[in-house]
Amino acid sequence: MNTFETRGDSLSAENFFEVYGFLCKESDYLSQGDYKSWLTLIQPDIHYRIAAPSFLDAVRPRRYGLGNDYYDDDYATLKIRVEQLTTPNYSIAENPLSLLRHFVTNISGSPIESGFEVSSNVLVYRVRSTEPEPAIVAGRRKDILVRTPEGLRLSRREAQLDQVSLRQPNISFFM
Amino acid sequence: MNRSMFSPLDGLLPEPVWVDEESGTASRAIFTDDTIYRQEQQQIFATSWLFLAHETELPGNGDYVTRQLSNDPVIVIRGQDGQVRAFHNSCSHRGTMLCRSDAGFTKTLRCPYHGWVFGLDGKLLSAAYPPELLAVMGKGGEDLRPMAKVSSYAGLIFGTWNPDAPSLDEYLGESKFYIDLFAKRTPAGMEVLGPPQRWVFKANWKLGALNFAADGPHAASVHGPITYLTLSVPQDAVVKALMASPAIIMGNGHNGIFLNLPPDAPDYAGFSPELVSLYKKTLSAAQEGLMSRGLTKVMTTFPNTSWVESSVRFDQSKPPIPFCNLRTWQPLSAQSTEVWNWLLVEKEAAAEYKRESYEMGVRTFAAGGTFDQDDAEAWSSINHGCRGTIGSTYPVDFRAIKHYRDRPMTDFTGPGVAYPSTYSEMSEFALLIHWQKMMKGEVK
Repeated sequence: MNTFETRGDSLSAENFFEVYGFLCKESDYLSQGDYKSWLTLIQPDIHYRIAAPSFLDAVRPRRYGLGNDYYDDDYATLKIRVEQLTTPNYSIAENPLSLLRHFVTNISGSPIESGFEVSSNVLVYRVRSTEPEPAIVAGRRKDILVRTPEGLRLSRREAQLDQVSLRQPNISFFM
Repeated sequence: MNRSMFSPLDGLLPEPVWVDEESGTASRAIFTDDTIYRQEQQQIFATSWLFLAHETELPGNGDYVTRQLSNDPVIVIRGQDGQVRAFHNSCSHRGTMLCRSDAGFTKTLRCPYHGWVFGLDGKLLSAAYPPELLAVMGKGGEDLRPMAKVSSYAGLIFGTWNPDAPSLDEYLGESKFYIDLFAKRTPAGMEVLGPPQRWVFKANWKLGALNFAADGPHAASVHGPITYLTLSVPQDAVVKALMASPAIIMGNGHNGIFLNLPPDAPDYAGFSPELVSLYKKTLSAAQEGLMSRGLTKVMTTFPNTSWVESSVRFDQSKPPIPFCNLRTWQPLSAQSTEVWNWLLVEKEAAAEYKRESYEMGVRTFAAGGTFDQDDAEAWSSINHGCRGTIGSTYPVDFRAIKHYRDRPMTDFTGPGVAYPSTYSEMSEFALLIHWQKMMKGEVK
């Protein structure tokens, strides 16, 4: 259900390190549960999606409905999620905070007028207080990063989370 | 042997008392014990009507979806004659799972292992053997194992493995009055907004079924903060609404709570005016009375199909949008449950409204939903509190029923028996009472 495709791999070395630096900073905020700082990296026009895949027959695939999203958020929704996760006693799922680590690889993209179109892979490692065994999910992300006076900001994310039946009780984190 | 309900269980009890109706308590073992799990698979899941799919998931002849009922794979398929059937998704030859896609369309079902081919009616069309072997084997093999009965109500396809089960109509009984409020409230009915979302929590399936049967008090404690963040309703107002709203025992194990709008809110607050005119055309006067004053509806169709509908907004500059959620709790083991989660919307709704309702469902009651995420963690925590040696020696508490059980509402207009507060825990506990009767074979 992805609605845009990133084009090619034409980042200069300078562009690559600028994009890489942004994605690393974002990952660090997410891994540390510093969601308020993470929100400062988000543009007000954000469309933030995480979609579930399906296993479909290669010869006769059949899709139906509008899609299957884990997240389909605008800025107002992300802001409420951040308030829920960061206000003491507002969250059960994330109090205590999950131990999270985000690993970002396979970055490619190209410059566009407003900034960059970027693809990356992400691996999220998670341990919750009620579940000592780590849960791992991977995903492919397609982002639009726009250039602002404060630096790059995320204006669009379409991620696919690579698990059809999620082996976790919830997704109370970002990827 | 006379054992109390508080003894750890290591085998089937001759006279088990897992749920003590008089004291309003239940053994913690019902949420953790492997023997109880195996017995409920036999006594409840092999005998009851189970939700399979929505008719709009199978619009065309040859369309199928695959499902897991507990640990059994099932294929639900619309035949070339237009009839929906359900089969154990397993080849009659060596047991191979025939269909490994989530959804698709086909003219026949072909086993990936030895190539046996079955018709969409489950009949064996060809066993891939030479004629001299078929002469020995008779016709060459068995047909697919069908579910004993498959039937629909309000677009909802149910199946049962039990050939002696009552009709679906009889099974749903008076709860149909309430199912209509979710699924049969406009002339064209509902459609799914997409395929089911699936996730797993490590706790017993009954915790989900009970929560939606429904647990009133948790709504203030667990969902109070997100209700405040989204709807600006303070926690004490949530408690007040929960205290003043009915818990309904619908019969046959079906139970729910229906939260009332505040008295000063207009009828159908939170619903789309275009759709409200269709509700008025479709629902009975008694149904409309409940629907028009409804804020949040939560219900479990026994054993493991649940419903929730409410209106929420995340952007304070926009009106609340309703979402309609349907789900099943599939037991994978005594302490592990897979949720299958659908969102429904009126077929007649405008495309933009469908999109908004979809987004609202995803943001509230789904794997990433701001309401669901905290419930799942609470149930995992219950599993921790009940699974150990000491955990199995003392009960869980539904004693609020003692204050309410002799005080049913006299002015409630829906079918079944209603109690005047969701804090009564009456409808939630009623699910466990029915569960125990099924486990003992006292009701079919």
